[in-house]
Amino acid sequence: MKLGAKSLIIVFISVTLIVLGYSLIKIVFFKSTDTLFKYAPQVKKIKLYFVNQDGKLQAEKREIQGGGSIQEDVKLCIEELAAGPKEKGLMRSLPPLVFIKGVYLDENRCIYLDFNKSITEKPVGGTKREQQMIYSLVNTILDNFGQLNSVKILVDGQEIKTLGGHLDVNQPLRSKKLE
Amino acid sequence: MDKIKLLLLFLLPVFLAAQEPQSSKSAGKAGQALLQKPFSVIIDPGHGGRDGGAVGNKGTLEKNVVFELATMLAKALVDDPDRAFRAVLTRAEDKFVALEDRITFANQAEGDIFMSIHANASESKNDNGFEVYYNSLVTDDALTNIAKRENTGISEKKDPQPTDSMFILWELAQNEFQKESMDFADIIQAEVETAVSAKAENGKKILMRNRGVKQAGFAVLRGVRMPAILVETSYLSNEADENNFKNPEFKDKMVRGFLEAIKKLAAKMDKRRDENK
Repeated sequence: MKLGAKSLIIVFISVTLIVLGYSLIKIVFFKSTDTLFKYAPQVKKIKLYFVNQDGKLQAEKREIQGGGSIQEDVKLCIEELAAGPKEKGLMRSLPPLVFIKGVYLDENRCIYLDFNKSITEKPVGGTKREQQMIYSLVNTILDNFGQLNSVKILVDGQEIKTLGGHLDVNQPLRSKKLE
Repeated sequence: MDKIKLLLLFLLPVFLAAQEPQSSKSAGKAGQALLQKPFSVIIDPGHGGRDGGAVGNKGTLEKNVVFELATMLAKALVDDPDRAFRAVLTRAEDKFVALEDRITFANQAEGDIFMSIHANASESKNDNGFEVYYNSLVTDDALTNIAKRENTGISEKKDPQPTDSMFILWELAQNEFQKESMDFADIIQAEVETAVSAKAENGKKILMRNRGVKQAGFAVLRGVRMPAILVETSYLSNEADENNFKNPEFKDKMVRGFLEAIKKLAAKMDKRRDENK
């Protein structure tokens, strides 16, 4: 009987230690993840990629009042990009009337940018224009948010094959310089 | 029903193209040419129908100029006296054809090579010139450079790449047509440069910037089971480039460049096949 009570106490202590240990690891892990993707709002210096006179992408530096998460900050960056450049000699890369509807993050650190239909319905034509549009988005996001791996473009929440009939965007995209 | 109509529409030019070489050969070389299996070229004029593609400042429509070049090339191929060619167009009129249908059609037509013809446009009016693309399974600069080295045989022994890069390179290695697509792109680039830059009889030269051979993930090139390239003939957003399309000599020269390149590639592929027999 005494032996049984001792065993029960040992089992109880062991289970308590395991549960406490797991909780501690969980708290530490989520805390580190939270600092990458959730943080206190602060002023951020960002680089936005627009098209220059040679047709290449060129960064314009700005300061924005950031939000409390990476999704909020990415959305703010895209809104700034869609508003167009302020520097002389730079041209907008996204067609007018394009706006971002939502931003989502997956476990592979791929950020999903969900746009309205204007991004495909306003035909701009040309592979180069399509490249300028895609990589101004991708380079802007991946250059400002080093914790992200890739970017995926959605339209009205759906995956799409191309924006204008040329480049395959039905996959996660990474940075590229334009020649 | 619609699919049957679409197939019939496509099969008509296939049939015509397949028949035409036999009647257009000169008597001397006809016998020799007919002994060869026709080299099948799938020509894909970009866009069409409700999808006009790029629009020039003077109103030139991409879908029209690329269709004109495609039909000129088809005719030049089937009229060629030196070799039997079969030219097949993915669209025979001003009609919208989905990218997936172009790919399916090209594979069903069992082409030896696939060539998509486009005209470019940029936000910058200064962008101009001719460029040729072959497919890239990778999407970023670092991986593209690795893939290029792998394909040209100048690979270096390096530490293992991250898992996703390994996967992409593995996919790339599986693409049996990647090397031939690179060759095709290189030959087209060189032959078009030679043809277009040749002086005319009046001594005048057409100005066209050579932007070189590039890689990009074109949806229309993915899934095509043959060496495949996409040609960006020039920039409709550039005034001089758009004017070139109003000059018949420019179009003739460009098509001549395409033809010479395809003939060279056909000879190269024939030789490779003979060696593998």
